[in-house]
Amino acid sequence: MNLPEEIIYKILPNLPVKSLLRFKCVSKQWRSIISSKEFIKEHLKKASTNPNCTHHMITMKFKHRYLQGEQTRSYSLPYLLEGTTAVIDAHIPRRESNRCHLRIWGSCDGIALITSNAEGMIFLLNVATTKSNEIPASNPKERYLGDHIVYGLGYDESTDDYKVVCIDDVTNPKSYTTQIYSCKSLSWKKVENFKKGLVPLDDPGKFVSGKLHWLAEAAAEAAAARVEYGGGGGGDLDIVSIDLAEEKYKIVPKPENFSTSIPYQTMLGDLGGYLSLVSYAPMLDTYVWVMKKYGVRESWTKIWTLSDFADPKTYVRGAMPLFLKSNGDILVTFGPCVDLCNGKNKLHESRAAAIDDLFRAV
Amino acid sequence: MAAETGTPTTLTLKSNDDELFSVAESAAILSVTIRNMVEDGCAGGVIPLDNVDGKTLASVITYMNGISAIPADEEKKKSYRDKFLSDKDFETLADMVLAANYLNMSCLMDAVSAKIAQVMEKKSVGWVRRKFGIENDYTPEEEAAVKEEHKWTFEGVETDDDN
Repeated sequence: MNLPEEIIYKILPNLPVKSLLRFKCVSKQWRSIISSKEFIKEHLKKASTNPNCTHHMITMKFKHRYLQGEQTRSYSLPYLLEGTTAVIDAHIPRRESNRCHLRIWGSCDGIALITSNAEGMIFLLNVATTKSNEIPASNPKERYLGDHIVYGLGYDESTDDYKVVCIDDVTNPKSYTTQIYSCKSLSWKKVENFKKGLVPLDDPGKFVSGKLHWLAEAAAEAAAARVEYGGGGGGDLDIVSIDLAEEKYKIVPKPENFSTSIPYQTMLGDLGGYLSLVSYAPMLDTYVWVMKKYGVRESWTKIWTLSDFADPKTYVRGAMPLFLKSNGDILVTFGPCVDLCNGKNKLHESRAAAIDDLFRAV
Repeated sequence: MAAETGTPTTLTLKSNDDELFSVAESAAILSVTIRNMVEDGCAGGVIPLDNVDGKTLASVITYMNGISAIPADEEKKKSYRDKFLSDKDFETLADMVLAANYLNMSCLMDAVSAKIAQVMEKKSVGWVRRKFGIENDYTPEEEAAVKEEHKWTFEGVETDDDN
């Protein structure tokens, strides 16, 4: 059966990456189709809009109990949604395994930004193909990635470029620097800092609507909070964004009457393509909010409250949402368990090995 | 047309092996190719479809009738399509994708393409070459190099004894 090339172009974008990489062996023509930029774009579009999330993966950091070092593992999302045991779907090359103090800073279109503290390395991992690229450190003189450098990864549609933002050293509100790395120009560029003395918390930047977001606190308050609690996050927090095309900052509105003060801890996230806020406190309810219409304060909606079906045992650790399906079901971690829940009920539970750090990937 | 007379109009379609099929116009115009012919007024007699054989055309008409009987409910349409394609083998699917392309039926085209991909997903490189009639134009060295680059993707591939 000889199918014309236009039909081959229709069929192939439906395949998972693993099959596509194998089928590069079919012929030179197939290899050039599968390797082409247009095809990759088409495939990504298809994969990210697939209503069943067939190609979605969740990558988690994993600490080996006996061996030294840490690994990342990627789990196919449908298995987490339907299976009982998580299945590792992507094979992370040996070279990236067993590194010390890995930190996953987020993902964009299936590319994960990971740093390895001990070796002072930053790399981008393509979760589906398992290929990774090291990028140069933002400050080559001090090839040391301390605890106080904050990263974020996003995509600039206007120039078709993936960009890494690096904010170094966030414990030093007066003299930190903000730099942006362009995967196209392969270089770092210094940009303006946040205004009004705002300093981002030590969290990964969340990529939504072409912008990276952090929770940030005023420098004076940050210093006071550190004295009082030995860490940030005690005071009132704002959401700051950096637009990857314009490379400019903005403050993003929070929900009305939203408290970020003690005892509540707040986490910023990206759920189902929305900017989200998780608010939790020991022995109190956990709330999940999403901003349904980007930039509109009134559109913040509380989509989930943990106490609806909480198991008291999980209260202390709290629940972290991982993924929001388009039908409103939400994937949540409770310690080592990953549960799929709707508003009221736990729909499904699956176990993944020791989860430490989590992020969403397409 | 149907709307003017109040009675359903029936079209006659002819396959390339001279089989004749009657189908309600309302179902047949799911095909943009047929709709254009109807709109241009060239659907008076028999509509010849030179690129579709009788077996495939019968199947496409079953689909046309089935899907147009479902009211505007995307989920029901999707489950009809899934069921309709569930028992088709690769050769039948390949004939259907060619027919859907020729008839310009995007919903069938998308569904069959996705189904073919599903059938291919765990198949070997050799299976794909055979089924798609593709000649291997790599030298053994070149092929080994491409394979080496993506070695892990050859894990979990089905053996080829099933079709």
